[in-house]
Amino acid sequence: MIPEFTDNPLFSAWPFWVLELTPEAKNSEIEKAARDILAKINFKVPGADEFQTPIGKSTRDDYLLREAKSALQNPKVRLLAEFWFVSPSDIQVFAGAGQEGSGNDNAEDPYGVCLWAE
Amino acid sequence: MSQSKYIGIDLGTSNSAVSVFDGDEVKTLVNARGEINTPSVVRVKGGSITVGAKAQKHLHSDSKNTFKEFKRLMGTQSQSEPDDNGKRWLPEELSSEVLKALKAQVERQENCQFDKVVITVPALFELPQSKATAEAARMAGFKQVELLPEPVASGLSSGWSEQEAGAAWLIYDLGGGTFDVSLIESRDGLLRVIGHDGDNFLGGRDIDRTIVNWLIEQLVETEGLQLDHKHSDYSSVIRHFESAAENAKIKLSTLEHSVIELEFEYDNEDYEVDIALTRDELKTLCAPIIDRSIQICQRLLSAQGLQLEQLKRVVLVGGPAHMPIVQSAVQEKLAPLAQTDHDPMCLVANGAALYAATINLGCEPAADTDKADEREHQLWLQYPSVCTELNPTIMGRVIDESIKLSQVQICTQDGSWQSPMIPVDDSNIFMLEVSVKAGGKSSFIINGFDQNRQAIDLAYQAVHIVHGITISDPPLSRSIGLALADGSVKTFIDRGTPLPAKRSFAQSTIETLVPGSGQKLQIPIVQGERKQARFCRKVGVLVIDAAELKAPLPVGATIEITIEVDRGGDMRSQAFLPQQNKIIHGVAQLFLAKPELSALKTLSQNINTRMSSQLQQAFRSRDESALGVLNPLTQRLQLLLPELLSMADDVDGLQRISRELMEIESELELFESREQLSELMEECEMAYFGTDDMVKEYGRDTDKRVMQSCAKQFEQAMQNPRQGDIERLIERLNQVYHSAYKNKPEFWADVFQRWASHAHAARDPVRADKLVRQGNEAVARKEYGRLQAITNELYDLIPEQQKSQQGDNYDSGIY
Repeated sequence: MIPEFTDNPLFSAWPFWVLELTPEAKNSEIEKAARDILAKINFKVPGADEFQTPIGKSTRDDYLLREAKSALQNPKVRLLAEFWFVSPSDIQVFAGAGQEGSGNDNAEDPYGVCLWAE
Repeated sequence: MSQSKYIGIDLGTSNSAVSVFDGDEVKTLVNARGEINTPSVVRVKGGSITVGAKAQKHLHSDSKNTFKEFKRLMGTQSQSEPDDNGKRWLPEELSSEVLKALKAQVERQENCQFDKVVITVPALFELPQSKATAEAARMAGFKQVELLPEPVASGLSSGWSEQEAGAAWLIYDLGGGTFDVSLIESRDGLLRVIGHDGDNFLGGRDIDRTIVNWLIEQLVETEGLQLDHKHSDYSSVIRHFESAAENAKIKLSTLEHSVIELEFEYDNEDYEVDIALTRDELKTLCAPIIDRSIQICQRLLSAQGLQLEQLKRVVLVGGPAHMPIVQSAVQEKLAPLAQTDHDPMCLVANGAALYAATINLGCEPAADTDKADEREHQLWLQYPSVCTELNPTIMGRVIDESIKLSQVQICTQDGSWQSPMIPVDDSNIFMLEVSVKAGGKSSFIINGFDQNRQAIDLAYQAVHIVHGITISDPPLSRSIGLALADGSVKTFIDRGTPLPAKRSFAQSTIETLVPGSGQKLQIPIVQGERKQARFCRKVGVLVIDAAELKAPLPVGATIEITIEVDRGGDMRSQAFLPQQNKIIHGVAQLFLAKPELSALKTLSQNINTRMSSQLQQAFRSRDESALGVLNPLTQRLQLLLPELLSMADDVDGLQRISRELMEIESELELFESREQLSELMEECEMAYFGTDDMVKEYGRDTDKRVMQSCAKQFEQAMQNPRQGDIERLIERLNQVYHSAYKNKPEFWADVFQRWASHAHAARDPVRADKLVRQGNEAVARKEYGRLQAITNELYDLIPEQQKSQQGDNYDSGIY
């Protein structure tokens, strides 16, 4: 299911993860990343349909790429994604991780969602 | 090598046009009469069909077989009166005839078979209208169809060569039958639609009809004639009047005075009447229509939180938009007009063709002198036709297994640049970043080599990359949702979501469905932004037929519904019944229901009564702000009431009035619930100031930037309060508050206290007790780093069930 970037804080940073970009990315880099990943998916390049998140690997398709690109091209939505951005490689432990499907509930609780182990 | 060509069609209510983009320039084609506009008129005579000016000539003399303005009825399932052959035409069938004519024209002139096309539609077309347009294109022989909102096309076309970055423009598109307005900005090579609004039933035809009604009034006064324009006996006369009115309207664009010459038959008597009309009189007649369009523009600016001063300019699109009375109103009430060298009549079609290039929707010419193109392509290439970056990637895969490609070299066609040798990997894939000319077109050739570095003659598609402005995916104009049993709307796809989009949600049934019972579970599909279904437009229905079930579906059973909307306006849907492990496909049927005249009359009376009651109260309490809201609503309603009383079976008119009544009722209801809104505003105010303090003290840079964005939204929400916007803002403020709060040194003390209150339920109570004691010590000594580690360990000891209960109880504040 495609995350609702604007309404779900836990998922707000997904567009950066989907496109493997950081908050410094310019529009031309966003477009290029979306296009290049899609081309690789079309060519069935191994691993092209996967991306890393702080809570593990997830899959991407053309819908998710398009939505991620669009989210980062919308200044308001992008700001939120920047707000919630954490580099997947920086995360070691997520308190409460492993509770599949509970991310959304925890996201309602900012105390819980902020329990990133540092 | 052949070069792809891209076509875009402006399928208008009154006129249509087709443009071609060849990678270098975009041009609108002229038809056999040397005109760029082909009237959207279809005539059926015997077995032959004519389209355009030839058909238009017969509008009055053969009105039974000649059809116009069918675009206004797209998606309504309303059929024409039978022609001489007894056939009743659907609007999409007539539109497909216009598209066939344009397709034939462009194929003849460009010597190319076009089976892919971008067609423009009004920004606020609802799903059934979009789907009908895509269906018309398929009937005309197009295999791949993408739809683009008309104002976006105009923006792309007028912004293609623009250098102004970051400026907001308004695209004011007053067409024959529809009015669209879009707010766009160009930044960092991307043209983005900030928002749009419009009215599907407001256009130049309304100006013509206003003039016709005025003519009928003049004939009552001067000749004593009682022409009932709804009576079928006078349909031919009225069409003649409409044509005369349109001519007068066009003449008054350049002249101050015009004389309308009417020749018609009434009660078996011939009449020849000349009626003078001045530009000032026309201005007075059209004022309500133009004012309505300006109000829609102001509503859009307000919704986007833009002041008039921030609007750089207005681009006018469409014939009626270029009437001097419209131009002066726009300049006076909105912003200066764009000084553009683009022909306003070509903007939409040109934009559609340019968009086709940005999404690689091109066709290759049939004949080409280069032999390489006559072979099957041996490479599958992926590259952007249009891009904003100067270093796009060309990626390729060998699809002809008979060639043993080991390396490739990519060169510009003019020989000015060549890449190093690029290896082809084990999966037969190669990729390389190339450099393109800024603001221009770059063409590339690919040289192939085998493992002995011997050249291989390759057949592949031409590679042309244009560096220029691109456009974000067209956004969904109105949210799509399902009407639930309690009258509320469950939004599936939000307004602004880029298309195509797909969403899944689980819902529960409220009645039992038994196979063989003949029952059908119906769930209305609505489009609109209100939370109550009755204020949104019903655009279709999801149907789950009991006959398709394996077993009875009890009350409360879960149904997972997936809806997918593509850029061609099509909707695919499926319902998954987990209990029966069954998927039912194609459960959505799209249509625009025809409004019932009697229901509209009842609704208008109901609104009138409620409005009168609110007005009385406002007068009694001398509430000026309430009167400021109610008076314009009353005026809008008063304009509709007489029209509604004289309305017959006019589908177009009923749709227009239905929409207007829905908008008036929606605004009235908002006014009636203003006390509730006032409480929500107070809550928002408290949240805003509390968060602002917290962010100022403890927020990071990103928190502060989000807070600045919230500040703008807060200002807008206080000026133009809307329940949904305020609720979303409060939620956002809470998130920012907590993000800043966690930077406060005492944050971990609070989190520790929270989980310490659950220590009694810990899996290892002894260890938990010890951690609580250590935590309390750390709090007392302000050792927050240590406290964080203690809290994390304590958290791990608390059972998941307890944690989830904690989440549920968060709002109650009970730990």
